[in-house]
Amino acid sequence: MRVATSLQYDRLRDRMSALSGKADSLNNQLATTKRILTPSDDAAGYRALTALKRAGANSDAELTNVNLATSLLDSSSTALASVESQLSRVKAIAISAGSSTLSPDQRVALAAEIDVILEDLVRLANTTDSRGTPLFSGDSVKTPYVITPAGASAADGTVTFTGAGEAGQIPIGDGRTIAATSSGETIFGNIPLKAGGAPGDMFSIVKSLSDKLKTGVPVTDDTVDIQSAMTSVLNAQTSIGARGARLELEKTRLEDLALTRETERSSIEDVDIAATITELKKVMTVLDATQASFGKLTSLNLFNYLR
Amino acid sequence: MTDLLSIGVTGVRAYQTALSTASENISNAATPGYSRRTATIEEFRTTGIAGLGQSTIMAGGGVRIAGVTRAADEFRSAQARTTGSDVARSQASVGWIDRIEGALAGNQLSDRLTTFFASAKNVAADPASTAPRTVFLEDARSLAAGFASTGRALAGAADELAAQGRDMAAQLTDLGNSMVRINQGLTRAAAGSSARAQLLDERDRTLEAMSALVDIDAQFDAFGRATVRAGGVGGAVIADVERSSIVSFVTNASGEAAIAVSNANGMVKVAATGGAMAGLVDGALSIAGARQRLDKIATDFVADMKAWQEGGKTRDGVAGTEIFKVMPDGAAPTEIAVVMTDPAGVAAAIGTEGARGNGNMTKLTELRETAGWERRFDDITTENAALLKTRRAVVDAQSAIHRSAVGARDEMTGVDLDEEAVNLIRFQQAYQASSRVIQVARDILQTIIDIR
Repeated sequence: MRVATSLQYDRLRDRMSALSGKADSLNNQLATTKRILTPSDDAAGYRALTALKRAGANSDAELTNVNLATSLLDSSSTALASVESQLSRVKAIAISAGSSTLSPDQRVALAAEIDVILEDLVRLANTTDSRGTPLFSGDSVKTPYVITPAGASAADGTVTFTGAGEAGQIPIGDGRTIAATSSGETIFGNIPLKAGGAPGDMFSIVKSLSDKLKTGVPVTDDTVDIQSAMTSVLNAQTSIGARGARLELEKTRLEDLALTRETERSSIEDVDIAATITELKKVMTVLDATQASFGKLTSLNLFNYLR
Repeated sequence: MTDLLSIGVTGVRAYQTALSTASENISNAATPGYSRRTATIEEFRTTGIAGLGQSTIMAGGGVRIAGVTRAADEFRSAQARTTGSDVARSQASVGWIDRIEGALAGNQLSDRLTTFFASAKNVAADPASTAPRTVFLEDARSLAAGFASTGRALAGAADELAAQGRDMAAQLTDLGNSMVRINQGLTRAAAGSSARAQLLDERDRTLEAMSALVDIDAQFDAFGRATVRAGGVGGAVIADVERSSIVSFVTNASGEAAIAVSNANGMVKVAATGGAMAGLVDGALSIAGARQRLDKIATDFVADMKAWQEGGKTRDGVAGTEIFKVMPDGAAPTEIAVVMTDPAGVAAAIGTEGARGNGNMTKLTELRETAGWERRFDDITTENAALLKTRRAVVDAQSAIHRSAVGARDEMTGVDLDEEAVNLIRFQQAYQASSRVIQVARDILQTIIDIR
């Protein structure tokens, strides 16, 4: 068989460039520690990676939402705890106001204290969250409770609710949502009154106590309605606690998922360093040998011996 | 004694030619497409005219070069050409499929889609705030830019492919012209001449260049003149002894490409199955397919997002208007721009919901699932990637086949320097011996002349 000289060179060149290419790609994998640099490196792997990346981005957004919901629940809880203690105070006043031995001056003093508490309650019900918007306004972003100014057509000092509905629930992943806030209407309103009829709200209950004290109407069993208001607030607190616990679970779940995803991503994408280094060494050795044999082969030439 | 002298002279002449043939081979050892030449040495027979009944016993007339033979094997050459065509086609199409991959993955459209929808979740959590809405609009801009740059990258690839195709067609037309000139040269070149060998080398080189562009069928006549058809045995003639044809590369509106041959008989479409131009036709089809699917995704996205916005309420409680729009009118569907400037305009709420309503954002999450833009885009990317991987494997296999075909051809036609070195020594010795014969003849003649 005739070995054409140019073919001999071409073949060695092709072999060496193939080896260099292999070494280069292995080196790239080691430098980036990634096995999949372009989709065509592993189409199925790339698709799985895209899905993981998508799940990761969704999870990140959901984790942000969980944190936001947690902070909203915390704010609500703090505000409601204050409301509770203020209501306890009102209840104590109502009990002492029931005593028939009170002088008119004492009654007026108690009424004044209740008025201050009422203002405090309104301020608490208008608490704003970290975003600067009211917590208990429901669907709206307006300050939920306003005290009707004196001289307005409505009764003086009446507290009115301006909000409406409930805020949209916050998505926390896989179609699950959570109500991070409750409308003041649910917490402070809709309280069944002892007297029957339409349910009242916390503010009117407290205000009516104050009004009774001011006008000399005997205070008999106002504590029942105040207790109802307290129960409503307490229920809201319980619900917030339960939602907080659920968020805690969701957060753990999202963090666990992130770990699982990382493991999965690594198994798909990451280079087996030891195996790749071994492979690279092998390729380099073969390349060295090819280069050495290239030198030897090409120096073998009959013309060297013709003198 | 004059016979001896002339025998010596023929030897010197013949071996001079043989030596120059060997030198020619050596100097062209690295010339692509050069076929090894062999000087055919034969005995020079003087055909003495003997009279009737006379027997002429004559010594031989020396040696002569019957001709310069060019080592060639039509079958092996044809095999090398065919396998070369196959590789060229696959390589060209791999190049363009790789471009598609670059366009699809390089512009991060998939990531941008994901970021956009993830950001929608934050708007849903806090629809009353401006911050998440601003982020959402920014992500919308990034997404629109992703669509536009992906679309442009594919359109750019399509334009470049068409230009390359036209260049290749012009090149093939030129090669056809050269082939006609070579054929005409072959008509005149004397058999066994080195001019003819050179023309045949040139012919084979031209055929190889042609087959790198398109799969050809070459038929040779007694003179070695080639009739070349593009697209195999049944294809259109692109060059024969008299005239060549004009080859053109044409693309239609949707980006699909075809090769056409036009001559005096009209225009014929070539169904090429090999060569870089066939690879371009494949590539054009792939690019057109990817563009069509991307355009469909973009069109659906813009329309669905418009309907979604219009079905919801902005933070100010009015019906939403479109966020995305194809700009300017009549531009490619991927030329998407964000026309909304006020973050409050994102229609997060639905129906009678207030500023904190996020009913429409929930609808967007549903729409994301049902419309599956991300999935559809990933389908294009991964299908293309899988095709690229398969084609690369095909190129590797075809290259191996081509290498062995070239090896088989070069085994016949290539120059082996060692062999030529041996020939050089052999012819040099023969030359020296022949010149010695002349010297001996002179000495003998001198002896005779010196007789007194």
